[in-house]
Amino acid sequence: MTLYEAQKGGSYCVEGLSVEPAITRRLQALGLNDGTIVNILNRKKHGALIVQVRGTRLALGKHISSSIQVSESDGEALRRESGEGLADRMGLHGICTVEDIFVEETAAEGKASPEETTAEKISPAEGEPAEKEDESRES
Amino acid sequence: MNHNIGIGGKKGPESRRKHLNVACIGNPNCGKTTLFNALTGSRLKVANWPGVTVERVEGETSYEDTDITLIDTPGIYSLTCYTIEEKVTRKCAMDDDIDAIINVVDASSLERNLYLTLQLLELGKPVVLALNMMDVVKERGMELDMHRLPEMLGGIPVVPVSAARRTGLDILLHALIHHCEEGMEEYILDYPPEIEDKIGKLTFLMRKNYPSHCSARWHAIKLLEDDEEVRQDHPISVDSLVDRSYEKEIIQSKYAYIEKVVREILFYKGKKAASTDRIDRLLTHPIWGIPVFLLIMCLVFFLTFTVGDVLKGVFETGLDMVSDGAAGLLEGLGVAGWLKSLIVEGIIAGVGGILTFIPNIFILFLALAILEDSGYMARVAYVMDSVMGRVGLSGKAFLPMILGFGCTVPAIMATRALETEHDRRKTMLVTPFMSCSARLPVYVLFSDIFFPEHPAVAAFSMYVIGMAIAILVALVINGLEKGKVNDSLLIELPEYKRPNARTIRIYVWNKLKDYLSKAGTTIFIASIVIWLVLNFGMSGQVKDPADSFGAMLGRVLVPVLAPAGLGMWQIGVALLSGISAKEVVVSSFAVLFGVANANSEAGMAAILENIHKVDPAFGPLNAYCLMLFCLLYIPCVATVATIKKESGSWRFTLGMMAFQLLLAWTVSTVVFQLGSLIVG
Repeated sequence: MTLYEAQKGGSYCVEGLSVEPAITRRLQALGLNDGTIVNILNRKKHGALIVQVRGTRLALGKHISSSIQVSESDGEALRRESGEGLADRMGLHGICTVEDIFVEETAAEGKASPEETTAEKISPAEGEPAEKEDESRES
Repeated sequence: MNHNIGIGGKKGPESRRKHLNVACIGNPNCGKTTLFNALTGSRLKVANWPGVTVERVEGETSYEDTDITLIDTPGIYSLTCYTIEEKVTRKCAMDDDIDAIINVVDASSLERNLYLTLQLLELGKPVVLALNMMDVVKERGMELDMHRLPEMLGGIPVVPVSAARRTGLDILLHALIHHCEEGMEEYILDYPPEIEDKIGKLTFLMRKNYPSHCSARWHAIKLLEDDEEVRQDHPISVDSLVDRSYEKEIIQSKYAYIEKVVREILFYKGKKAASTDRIDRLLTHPIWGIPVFLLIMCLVFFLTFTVGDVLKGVFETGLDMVSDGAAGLLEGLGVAGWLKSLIVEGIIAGVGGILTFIPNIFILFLALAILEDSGYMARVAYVMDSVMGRVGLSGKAFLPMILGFGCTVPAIMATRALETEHDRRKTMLVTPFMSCSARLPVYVLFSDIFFPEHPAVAAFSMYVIGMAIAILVALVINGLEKGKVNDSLLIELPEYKRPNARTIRIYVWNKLKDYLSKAGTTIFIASIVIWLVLNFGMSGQVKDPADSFGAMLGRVLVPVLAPAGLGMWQIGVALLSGISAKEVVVSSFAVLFGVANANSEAGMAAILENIHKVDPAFGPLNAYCLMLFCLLYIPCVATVATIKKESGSWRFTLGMMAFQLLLAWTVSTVVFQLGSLIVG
């Protein structure tokens, strides 16, 4: 279903955006990505709706809302159960189910946090070939 | 590093003083301009809806031995370059002259605001986070871990401030100066390995090819996002690395990191802003939304006319005293008759008459300021979206139109927030039909003279007709273009808040100052010019204005204006001079008939008497057509210049003026002819 068909008061999980690239980028920058939870605060029968995304309110026209694929989600309950916004986690595609969250969680635990990973710049050994390759193509 | 150049750059006895250029950057409506005003003592307009600031503005401040040039920028959600505001701000952020960035953040919606922060951090310039709106955070029962937040943002200073209450400002400046000396970490979050690998290689390439860049990593990321501007500016071949746009993954990684940050630092996220939702239940109601909006506008204009009229008396008495005093004084000094006439009948009548409308203008701007600062404006875009959509514009286009009730010039500037050039032009075309405050004196004067029973109704009808014509014109254009229904509204709705007294004061004072300075410049000069063309003719100075140059000019227009019921040469002169500024229509009536105080009862009686001397048949219908003509014909010179600047096209500007003239003439002629049939 699309966000346009959503019910007032409902909570939904974004599955994909299929609108012009420029608008897609804006929506993504506003935090509407795959897996984001949106709550419908208000809507007109055949028109714009007001949604809550990441703690802010957005008014979206029909054109935009009907190009956002969503699935119903018991978002608020999930949030409380498994930590804030876990459902919104990156890389969580498709329908958001509790199973997905748990898979995601275990996967996340396995991964080291960014501060601990080698955040160093790439070694010259890695960078050098790329650069040479590039220079040769330029000349 | 680039940002160190500014510090201690100058030599000589004053070399103690250092200098920094600092940009205020943040999301729309997060309080950048309020902070800017608080830091620099400036008085820029602030309001509670996204898109108030459309241009970069500079101001000065200092802290201990450092002078700081602060730059206020339009609010943006992302450092991409799809809208005009984004381009302006991005250019400013990347400017080599900018030594540091104050990232203003709305602490009550950190999750969204931090997205821009992460991008700014990647720029590699020193960034200081100004956490604004901490009071809202407290109100909602939220708490932030102020220790963990900077840790997770690469150790940048995070300073809670209240821009409105002016707290935390010294700490902010202190942190800023210190931080500039220390330098920056470029590395905050890491992307998935595949992307990180590409970024690493691209960063290396950027460093090699553009060693002077301070933000190689940022450029590398932008290359990977397939950012048009960065690709054009850096024509290095990267196709093997950038086989497609990785923007989606990069955005998602950033948000994933932000969620992690928010999870760690935000506590007790309790019930949120219930009051805003409660107010919204009425104001954005699917059925009642539009009637409520119309009712609010009705109230605004009702107050403008009635309360303004009550206060008016004071100004009138003052003006009478000045006028009589000046006449007596000039008489006593033995000044030449023509000079006395110029001063009393030209300048005092022309400029003074306009000043007596200050109470009305004051009330109007006060009401608009409260509307803008409360957070209702963005809701109007939502409420009006269905109406505007049918005429091919998004609800957002209605915001410049409402601003047009104040002054058309900033309203035209505000069209920058619209997404496409086509929408902008269309909105520019219809915005002048919204009755600006300069047309208010014309309405007040002629309604009071010719509709003494219901002056407010007659004047208010002008506002309604203006709005209706704006929407009709847009509808016709949409039909001609075979345009579709526009329903791509996208706007953030801020929290409602109690209007801030200081913000309102600055807003209203700025507008009144504009009005006063206009009276002192444009209207002053126009009054002198009108006096000159009315007092001189082919034979030098003339006794009867009917022999003057002005009358000759006005008579040329009589045949054209006659079908609209405006066939008096005096009206031709008034309308012609009204192009300089709409108030001048009133000024020129005052000068024409030698009325010292047009807005007083005696002045109105004198104008009526003089009009009837010229044309005994000139009645309410003619006056109504005059008001209609003033509503619709060419806007003032300042507006025309702004439209030329914003559209960048003389063809568009001239075409628009021709269209408005034609429309004004057609509408007033039709109304006059039909009206004559009914009345007579």
